[in-house]
Amino acid sequence: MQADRAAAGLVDASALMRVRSIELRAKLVMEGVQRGLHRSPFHGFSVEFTEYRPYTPGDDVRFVDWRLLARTDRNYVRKYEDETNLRCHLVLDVSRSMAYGSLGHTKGQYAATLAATLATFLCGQGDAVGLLCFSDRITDHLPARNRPGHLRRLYAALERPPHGAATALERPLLEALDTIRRRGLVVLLSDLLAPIGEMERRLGAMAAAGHEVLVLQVLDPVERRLSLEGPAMLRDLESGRTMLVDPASARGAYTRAFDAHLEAIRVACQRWGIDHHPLSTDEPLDQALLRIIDRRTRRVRRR
Amino acid sequence: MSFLHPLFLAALAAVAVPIVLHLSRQRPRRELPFSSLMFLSPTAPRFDRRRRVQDRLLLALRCLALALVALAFARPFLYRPPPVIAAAGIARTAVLVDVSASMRREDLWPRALERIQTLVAAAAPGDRLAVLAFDRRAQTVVGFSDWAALPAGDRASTIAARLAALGPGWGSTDLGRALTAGADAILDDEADARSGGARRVMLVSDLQEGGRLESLVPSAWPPGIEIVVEAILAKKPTNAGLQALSVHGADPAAARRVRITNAAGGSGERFTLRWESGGPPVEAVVPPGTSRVVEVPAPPATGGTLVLEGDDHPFDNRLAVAALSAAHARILYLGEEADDPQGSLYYLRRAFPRTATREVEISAALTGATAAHLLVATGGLGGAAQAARAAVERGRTLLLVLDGRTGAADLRAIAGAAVSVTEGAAVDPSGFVLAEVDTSHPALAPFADPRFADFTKVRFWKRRQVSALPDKAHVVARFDDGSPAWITLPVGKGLVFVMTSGWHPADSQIALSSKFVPLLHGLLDAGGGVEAGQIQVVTGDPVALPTIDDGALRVRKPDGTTRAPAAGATSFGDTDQPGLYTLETGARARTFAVNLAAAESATAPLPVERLEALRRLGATGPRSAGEPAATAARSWKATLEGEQKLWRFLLLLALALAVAETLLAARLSRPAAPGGSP
Repeated sequence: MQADRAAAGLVDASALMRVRSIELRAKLVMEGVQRGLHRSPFHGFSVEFTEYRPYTPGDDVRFVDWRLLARTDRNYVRKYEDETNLRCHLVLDVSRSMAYGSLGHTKGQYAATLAATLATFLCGQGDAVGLLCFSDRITDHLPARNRPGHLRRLYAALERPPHGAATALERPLLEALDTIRRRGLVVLLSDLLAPIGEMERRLGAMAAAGHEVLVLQVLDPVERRLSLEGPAMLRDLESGRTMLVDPASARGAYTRAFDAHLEAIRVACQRWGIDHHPLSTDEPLDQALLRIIDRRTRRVRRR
Repeated sequence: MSFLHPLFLAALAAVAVPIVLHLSRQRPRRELPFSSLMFLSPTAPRFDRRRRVQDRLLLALRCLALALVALAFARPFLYRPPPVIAAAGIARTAVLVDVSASMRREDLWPRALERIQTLVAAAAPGDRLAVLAFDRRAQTVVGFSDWAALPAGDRASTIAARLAALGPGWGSTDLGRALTAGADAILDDEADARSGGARRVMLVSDLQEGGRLESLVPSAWPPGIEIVVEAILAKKPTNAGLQALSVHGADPAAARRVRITNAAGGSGERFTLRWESGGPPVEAVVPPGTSRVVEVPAPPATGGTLVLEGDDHPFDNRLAVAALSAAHARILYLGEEADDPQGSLYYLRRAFPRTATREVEISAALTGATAAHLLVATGGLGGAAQAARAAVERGRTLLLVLDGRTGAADLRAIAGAAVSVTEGAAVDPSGFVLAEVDTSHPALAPFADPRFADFTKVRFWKRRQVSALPDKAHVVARFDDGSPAWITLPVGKGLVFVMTSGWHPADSQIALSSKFVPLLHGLLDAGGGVEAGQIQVVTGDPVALPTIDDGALRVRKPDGTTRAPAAGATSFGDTDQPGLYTLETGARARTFAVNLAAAESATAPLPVERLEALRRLGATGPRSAGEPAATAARSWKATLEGEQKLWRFLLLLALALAVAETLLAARLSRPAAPGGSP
C-alpha cells in the first residue's frame, strides 16, 4: 500500500506528520495535490451578492434586478463581490477526542494539516480563509481574510494542540452560524463523535443559511474498528471515565454502533445537501484532498 | 511421610503467590486512552478456552515447584521404627575399670568405684555383668559366670570389695588390649550361655592421651558390641613426668640427663628437681605439651630417687636412678699364656675392654671353670677337659679353636670318636673367605642385620677339615669351597662352638677385622648368665636374672619385702612397684631401678575425635546407654532422613518443573500465528 502510494507520488500520512512545521506539511500536500490537479474546482464558482444600490445612469444594465423593479417599480442594481473571491471558514474541532491517535499522529494533527493545506491553497489563489476552533464552544476565531500575514496567523492557530473538553457540536455550530455573516464555504473538520440529534439541526441551519458546507470526518483506524489487543482499561480522553473492555468480545457491538452512527451522519448530510467525507488518519492527505476535490468537481459540474 | 524440620512447611504458604498473581491477571491494570466510550459498554475479559487451560497449566507448574521446594526444606523421610534390640536376649555388659598409675590422681579412683556401683545397681535382674580391671593387661575381677553365681544382693558388695582390694597400681595403660579383652569376655560368655540381647563394653577410665589404642583393630571389632565411654576426668590439669636418659661413659660421678615432659592442657610450667637424699635443686621451665632434657648432679653411689615438684599430681614425680654398675663376666681361657701378637690371647684380651656396663675377667684358673660364662680353648683342653665338659653340660658355652696341633683329640672327646680332623691343604695367597654364614644362630645374632653380615673381606689361610660330624652338629658357617668353618655342637645344656681356623695371624685375619669383637661378645651373651647392665625397666617388665651356682638369689623390693625367685629362673617379673630394687646374689648386691612408663605421665584426656571413633566402632542403633529417649528418637529420625535423603529428589523435581514452566511460558508468549487468535 505504501509502495503503491509512493509510486503514485503520494505522501504517507505518518511520514508527513513527522514534519514539524504545519506550513511545510501544507506545502508538501499542496505539491502532491497540484500534481494531480489540472484545474481548481474552487476557482470562481461562487458569486456573492452583497447588496442593492439605487440605479444611477451609466451602470451596467445587466446588473439591474428586474424582479425587484417589477415589484417595487424602482431601479436597483445588484452589487456583487469579485467573482473570483471565495470566503472559506474552517471550523476545526479541538476537543480532546481529537487528541487520539494510534499511528504516531493524532486526529487533531491530521485535521489541522488538512485545514492548513486548504488555507494555503485558497489564500494562494486570493481567497479569504477564516478559522473557528471549537470544543464545547468556540475557542478561537480568525475572521476570513486574505491579508499579508493572515496565513501565518492561521498556521499558528492550527498548531495549537487540542485542549477542549467534550465534543458538543450544537453550541459551537450555533455560535459559528452567528459568527459567519457572509455566505461562503464552511469546512467542518471533526471526528463527529457526539450524539447526532442537535448536530444535524445545526448543520441543516448552516446549509439553509446559504453556506456551502463540507464535512470532513477525521477518524483513527483503531477507533474505527476497535482493533486493540487484549483487554484493557479504556480511559475516555474527554471525560476521563474508565471502562474495562475486552476488545475481542466488544468489537462486534462496537462496530455495529459505530457504523450506525456514521450512517446516520451520512444520511443527515445527504438530506441537507452537505458534502460528507469520512477520512482515516492512515490515508495520505494529498490522496484524501484529491478525492474531495474530485467529488466537488463533479458536483459543481452537475449544478 | 514424616519431616525432620516440619517448621519449614510454613513455606508452603508461598504457593499462594502465583495463585494471587494469576487471579489478579483477570483484571488488567493496563490503561489505554481512547477517543470516546460512547459506543462501548464494559465487558469482562473473555479468554478462550485454550488460553485458560494454558494459564492454568503454568499456574499448576509454578505452584507445584514452590510446594516441592518447601517440602524439600522440611526434609521429609519415611518413618520406620528403630530396630528393637531383642528383648528376649540377655543384656551383657563388660565393665572395664582403669587401674593404671594415672588413676592415682586426686579422687579419680573413688569416683570410678562409685560409677561402677551405679552401673551395678542399674543392672536389670536378667542382665549379666562382668568387671575387668586393666592397666597394660586386663584381669577379670568378677566374670560373667561369677556374676550369675552370686546372689543378686551380694553382687554389688562383692565387686566393691574386690575392686577396693585391687586399687590403682603402677602400670601403664593399654586401652586397646582392655577393650579387646572386654569384647572377648562377652563373646566367650555368649558361647557358654544363651546369646542375644544388648552387648556393651563400658570403659570407666581417665582416658589419658598416653593410653595405647594401637592393639585395637577397628575391622576386627565384633559387630553389635557397643562401646560406652565413662570418662573420669581430673580437675587439675598440670602434670609433669620424668624419664632417665641413657648414660655414656663409666664415670659414676658424671652428671645425669633427665627428660621432663609436661602434659598438654596444663597451666604450670616451672618445675624443680632434687635428689631425695639431698643436694642442690635444679630448676626447669617446660611449657605444657612439650618436654625438656635437664642435667642433674650425679646420684649417690648406691643410687637414689629424683623428686619433681611443681605440678598437681605427684604420682609420677619420683624417678628411681640406680648406681652405675658394670655387669661382671668371666672367661676361662685355656691356651698359651704369652701376651703375644702372634698368638691368640693377645686379641682375646683386647676384644673385652672394660666398659661402664660390662667388665670381663679372663683367667686361666681351672677352679673358676663352672663360674665362667665362656670357656675359650685355643691350645687344647688338656687336663681341663673333664671340668670343661662338665661346665658345658651345665649350660656354658665352650669356644674350641682347632689350630692344627691341638683340638682334634678334644673334639673327638666331646663329639665322638668318629669325627676326623685333618689339616687342610695349603692354598694360594688369596686364601679362603666365609661364604655361608647362618646368622639366625644366637651366637651370631650381632650379624643378623645384612649390613654387618658381609664376611667376604676376612681372609683365612689355614683351616682344618672336619668330617663325620654327629647329626646334632650344625654348621653355621662354611668357607667358599664348602668346607665347614664354624660348627655348633650342643652338649648337655650347653654348646660347643668349633672354629676350624684360629684367629692368630698365621691362620686368619679375623682378629684384625671388625667382626671379631661382636663375634666374641655374641658368644659370651649367647651362653647366658651375664647380668644385664644399666637398663630402663618399666613397672611390670621382667628383669633378666644372672645365673649363679653359689647361693640363692634374692630380690629386695622398694617397699622392703624380699622375693626369692625359683631356682633356675632367668627373669624376675614382680616389678609392680616403681623404685630401687636390690638384687642380692650372696656376696654381691646390685641395684636396678624400676620406673613408671613415660606414657603414663601424658594425662591430658584423649581428643574428642578418638572418643567418637571409639563410640562409632560399636554403634548399633539409636539407643545408647544413658541416652534420654527424646534425644534417641531425634537421632533415629536424623539417621533415617540421612539414609533416605528424599530432599534431593524433591529439589531435582522442582528444578525440572521450573525448566518446564519457563519453556512453556516462552512458547506461549510468542505472538500467535495469523488467524490463530480471535
